[in-house]
Amino acid sequence: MNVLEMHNIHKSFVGVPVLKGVDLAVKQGEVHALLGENGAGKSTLMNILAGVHSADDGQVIFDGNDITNCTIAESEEAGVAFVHQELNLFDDLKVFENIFFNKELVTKTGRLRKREMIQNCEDVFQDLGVVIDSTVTVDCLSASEKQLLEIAKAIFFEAKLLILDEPTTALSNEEIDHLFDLINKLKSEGKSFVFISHKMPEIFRISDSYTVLRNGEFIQTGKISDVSAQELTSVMVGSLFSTAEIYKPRKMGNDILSVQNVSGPGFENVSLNIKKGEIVGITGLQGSGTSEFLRSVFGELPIFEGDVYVDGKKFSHINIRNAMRKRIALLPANRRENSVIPDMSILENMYISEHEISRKNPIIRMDHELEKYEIQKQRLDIKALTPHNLILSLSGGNQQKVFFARWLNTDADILLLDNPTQGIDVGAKAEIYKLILQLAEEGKTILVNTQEIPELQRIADRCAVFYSGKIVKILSHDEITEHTVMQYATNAIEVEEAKPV
Amino acid sequence: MTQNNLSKKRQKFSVSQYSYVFIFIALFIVYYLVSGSLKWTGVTNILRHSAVVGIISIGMGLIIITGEIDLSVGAILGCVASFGCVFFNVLNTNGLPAWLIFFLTVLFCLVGGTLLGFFNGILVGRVKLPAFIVTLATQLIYRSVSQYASRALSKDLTGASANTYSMVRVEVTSGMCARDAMYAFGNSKIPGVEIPTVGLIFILTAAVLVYVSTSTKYGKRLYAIGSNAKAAHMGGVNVEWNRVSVFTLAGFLCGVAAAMWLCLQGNVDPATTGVTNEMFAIAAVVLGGVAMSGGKGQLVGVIFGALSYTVIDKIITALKVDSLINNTIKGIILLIAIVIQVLGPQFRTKKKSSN
Repeated sequence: MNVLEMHNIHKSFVGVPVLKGVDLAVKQGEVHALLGENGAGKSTLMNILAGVHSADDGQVIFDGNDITNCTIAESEEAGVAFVHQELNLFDDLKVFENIFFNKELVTKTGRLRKREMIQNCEDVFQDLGVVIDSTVTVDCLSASEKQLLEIAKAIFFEAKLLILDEPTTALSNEEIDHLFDLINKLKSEGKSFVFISHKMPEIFRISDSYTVLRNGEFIQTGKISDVSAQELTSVMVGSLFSTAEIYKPRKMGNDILSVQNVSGPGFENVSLNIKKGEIVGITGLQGSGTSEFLRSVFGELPIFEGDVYVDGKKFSHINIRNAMRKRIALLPANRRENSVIPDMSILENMYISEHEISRKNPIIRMDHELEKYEIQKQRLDIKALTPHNLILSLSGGNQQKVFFARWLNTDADILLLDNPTQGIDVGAKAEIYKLILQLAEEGKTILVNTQEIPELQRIADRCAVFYSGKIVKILSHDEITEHTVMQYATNAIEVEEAKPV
Repeated sequence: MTQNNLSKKRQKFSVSQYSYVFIFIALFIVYYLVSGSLKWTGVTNILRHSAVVGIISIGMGLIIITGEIDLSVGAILGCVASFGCVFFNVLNTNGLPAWLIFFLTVLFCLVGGTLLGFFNGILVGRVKLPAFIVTLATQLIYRSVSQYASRALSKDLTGASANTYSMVRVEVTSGMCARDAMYAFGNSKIPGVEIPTVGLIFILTAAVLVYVSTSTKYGKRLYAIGSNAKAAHMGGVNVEWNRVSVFTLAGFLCGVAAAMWLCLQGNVDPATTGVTNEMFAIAAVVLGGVAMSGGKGQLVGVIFGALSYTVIDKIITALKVDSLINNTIKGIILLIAIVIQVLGPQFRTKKKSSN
């Protein structure tokens, strides 16, 4: 019996279709894996189910009732519980206050019946085998306890279907075991789950059936026992992707950056030798430590262990300014937060980093700066009317070019690019790829962290694939395909090997 | 289409951006009208009476540009001036030449202010405590120490009867004694143009710092930190030490103000000297068009902000009304200024979108 049936769901955001006729059916008492790459439409589909968005077309039947285009409250009422990736808990409130938030038990005079609420919480926790003190504040809880608390909250209000959006990202293996035990227990009691995850081993361990979405379209559904991890990866990725052949092999110099057994926040034991003029892609799922790795080499995050060598010399006392002196630059992810200085002009945004290097000449020479601006503007083809306009007057792609210029101005030789095409439209992306290749041609060494595999196919000489903080594979340019990268990034290889032949 | 978008967003000259000039001119005209016969000395006196709070305001302006605040500036002024007095009296009894005592006392004020500002800076910049709390605490400390010392120290050191400080006059065989020399300097005017010396010092200091804020790498760093500290940090700016430096600089400017105070007055009442100066400094900064959120505004506006408040004082005096109404007027002017600054741009965009 199906507890949930979604038929022919369509949804567009500002004219861009995100879901194009998607079907999803979940049986009672099963764990249903919802699969697809970033941007495939999984979150949108779940948000429609939870009442966050309304569908343009289609039908949602839950537990026999039509709940198409319901509100969040109606969806909750019907028995759908969405356990979000970023948990919706109030850190400063106590555990029981979180569970009863907006549903508090009160006396006639409006006084809270705290003792009763605490008792109810503890009953549920005991039922679920969860060990959490219901009177502590939530910020004392670990990531996994918060996850369990969210689930307990859903169970307490008698949810029939729980949506778990990448629930294991912040959990250790032991905590994942505990979570999965709990899921299995609830499953046997007749609860259903939609399980969103990128990690193949987990999907094969916990799920009964799957549905794959790609580019907003329904691709395939079936039983997990009928497919292999390899097949699933192929289905997810599809075979169609365009790579305009702009990549050509270049001559490379000696090792310029060498990282030996480096550990830091979110990554461990990373070793990598990079040659002058090389473009190395770094990829992995969200939270696999790729971004942290780049930030640690730049000195923005600490390095716990291991050595970094630049040009054969050991790079000790790593901090941002020392990294700049070693001619390392980092173009950070999240442009708005980490790059944009919103009250300053294009020119000012461009020269701020170079001024740290040339601080011995404290006075700004405007003619000098404008000259450099013109050079960079030509070189990067920045579309700006005057250097004195605010940075925010530019489009995302042009802003990003200004931040490229910010670091090229410092004469950096090693460019660490953290998700450089984030939030940039397709045309501008192509320009950024061209720019990266051109810079490598000029002898710059480039590390690119990205989750977009077509991007790596276009530019990377090699690609290091991370899985939970470690490099699991280094692929050469010709080996980079969506399929292989996803296999290593989701650790599907391990599942294949573990399967008895 | 992009071309169109770009030109629309170009910064244009706007009234709200330079509101401080218009407010100053408006106030000045009112002053001119109510004073009846305004002489040149009346005009230059505005500079004299703006000097102390003006210099403090410039320091406050720099701090606010970096997105922080300093509530202790008035207390630094009071504290440094108090102990400057004591230092002066110690030197004076040792029979040093007047010029040397003068020089050393001024130096003491500058160093003292710098150190107190540095202490604030370390707590805010390095230890990363919230500036509001840190400087609220140091305000209480600096103020209380100078008040306590005025009673605890002997009369020889304070140079005055209980609870105040005074620079003591001594008999000298030739020329002026140190106290008279300082007083004469503080109340002197540049011959010919009749501009008070302290006013000139204020304008010159302000001019240097306006230059620093607009045309040096250090100045641009302060704006960058105030605008987006995270991005400045990722761009290689040493956010921590630049914060320390700006509090230290503001402390130094309070030291300059304290030295001026001694030259102008010759005595200090630790219970009143510099009290609420931090509030007038903040008001002058806001009136000058610097955003409290940091990263926006020009330091030159702060000069006009400080001058405007002095003109309000002059108007009240000229009208011969009760001076207790003074702060009501200042408060209203501040509200008008902020309304122009905040609602002005909104009004313009509304007009544009309705077109």
